[in-house]
Amino acid sequence: MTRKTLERCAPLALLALALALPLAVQSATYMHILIVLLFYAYLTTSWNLVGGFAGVLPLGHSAFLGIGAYTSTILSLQYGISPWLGMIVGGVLAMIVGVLIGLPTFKMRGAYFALATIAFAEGFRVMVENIDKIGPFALNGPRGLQIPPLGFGLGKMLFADKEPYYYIILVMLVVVLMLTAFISRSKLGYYLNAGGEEPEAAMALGINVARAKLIAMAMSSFLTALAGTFYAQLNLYIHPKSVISLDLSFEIAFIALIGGRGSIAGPVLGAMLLRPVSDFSRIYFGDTLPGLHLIIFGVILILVMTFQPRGLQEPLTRLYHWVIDRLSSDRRTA
Amino acid sequence: MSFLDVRNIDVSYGDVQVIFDLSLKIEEGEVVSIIGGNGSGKSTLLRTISGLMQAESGEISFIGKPIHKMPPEDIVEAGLIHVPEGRRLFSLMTVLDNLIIGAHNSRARGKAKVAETLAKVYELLPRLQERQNQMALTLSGGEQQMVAIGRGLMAQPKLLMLDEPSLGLAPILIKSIFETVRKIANQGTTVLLVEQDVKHSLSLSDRGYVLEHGRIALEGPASQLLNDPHIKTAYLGI
Repeated sequence: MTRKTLERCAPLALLALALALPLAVQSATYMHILIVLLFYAYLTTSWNLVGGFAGVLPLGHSAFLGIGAYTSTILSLQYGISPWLGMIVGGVLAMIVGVLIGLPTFKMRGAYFALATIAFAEGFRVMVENIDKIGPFALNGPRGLQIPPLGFGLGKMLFADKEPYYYIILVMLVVVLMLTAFISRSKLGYYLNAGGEEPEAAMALGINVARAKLIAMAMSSFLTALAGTFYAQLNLYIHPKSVISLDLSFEIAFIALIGGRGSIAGPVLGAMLLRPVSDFSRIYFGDTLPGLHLIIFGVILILVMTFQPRGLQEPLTRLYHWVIDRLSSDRRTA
Repeated sequence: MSFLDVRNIDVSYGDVQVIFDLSLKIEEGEVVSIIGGNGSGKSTLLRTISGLMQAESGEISFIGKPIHKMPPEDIVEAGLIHVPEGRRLFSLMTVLDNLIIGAHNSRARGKAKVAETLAKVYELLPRLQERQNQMALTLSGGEQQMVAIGRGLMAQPKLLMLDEPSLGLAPILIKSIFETVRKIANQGTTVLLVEQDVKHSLSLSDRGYVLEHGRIALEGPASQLLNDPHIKTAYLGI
């Protein structure tokens, strides 16, 4: 096979493997671990649109996840509206909030931006924890919302088995990856990249850096909120500490930094490495050393930042190209 | 009406005023140098003209249009391009991508147009063609400065403002950068050059302004400024 066909086939083979994986995995626990892995890969890829391409470090994305989860859940519990529709409503709401946060905060640089987003997400969590009702909408404060597992089916995004969830999040991930790949090669991708590194030079060339960042933020917050609905439908219970927690925002950033910010494969690779660490340390050390996974994350982060500052995607991409090169018939002369 | 007309501007960073009631004029086709020591307000002046900063008072007009209230992207559309101090390349992009980003505004956009401008830039700076697929951060300082100038040219400037293109370069490279600037001017682009290298910049310019503590201390034809006793003692050390 020529190098070109191989390069085209490799992602498809990977996708086929991902599609077939549930056939091999029997245990519901492992299935759940896989679903959560894809969920984090999706979240981080959405985050990457701002955190990777635009060169800022948002640490409050759980707020958007919370908006998505709460919106669709309230709409389906109180009004019987399908979560699929609620998902879009939540996405639009999160997008509006994302732009409103972006307007003042994108003027800040570096750590100040990160701190501002943390402050917003934390403020949002405290509000949701202390509000029982906004008008007709019951938030239930710290007790959260429970989705009764009644009436399964695609329309209700509610299933007795794990497999449908797996395929839903897999499709979402593939779509968001394709979107990211498209954006990274579009003008917007270049504007974000340029404005992230040298805002002054980009502005002096006539690029509206603030607008590019806001567009990225709008997309990122919309996509993150969709994952919120998915989370609610998967776990059937949401409360402020689970969907709007800082831990979640940090974990997304960890995954992105270790996998490789601003690359397309980075968030997926990061999730593939870190999620198992997180899950298995909880399974085996959950009672004796809770929170161990965060320590391991920290150690991995230090190692990766020291030896591969652009994330694990860099050596792995090189390896991938090397393998493709070995397998292809029209090998480049070494 | 002059090509670029700056009238009585005051510019401050917060409480600290940096530019005081400054006026200057540039005619089409001229090369004008602004010289002055560190902290005299040279870069601030350029940042204000290109819209990266706002003047507190005063007016700036470019080809008869007031631009002091415009955002930077509109000023670029009007044809006024600022090459900021210190190169500021997009380091993880290739040289070619850096150049193409320069052609972002609507006057410079379009495949055919970009290819045409690119050919001109490569003719002027042949080194960039050799390096076009290299990441910008792998270039030497002189080459990086060439990319920065080339990126500015890609935007099809009517007036090109260069902020200290000689910064941190070896004397031989400085000479070649200034020769490039002269060539750009000879091809018909008006150039506003901000420099600390007084001798080189004045010898290629038509006129010059000397900026001291945010005020114009001296102005006149470049040859006259080169022989001015004050400039000789203060800037040339003769």
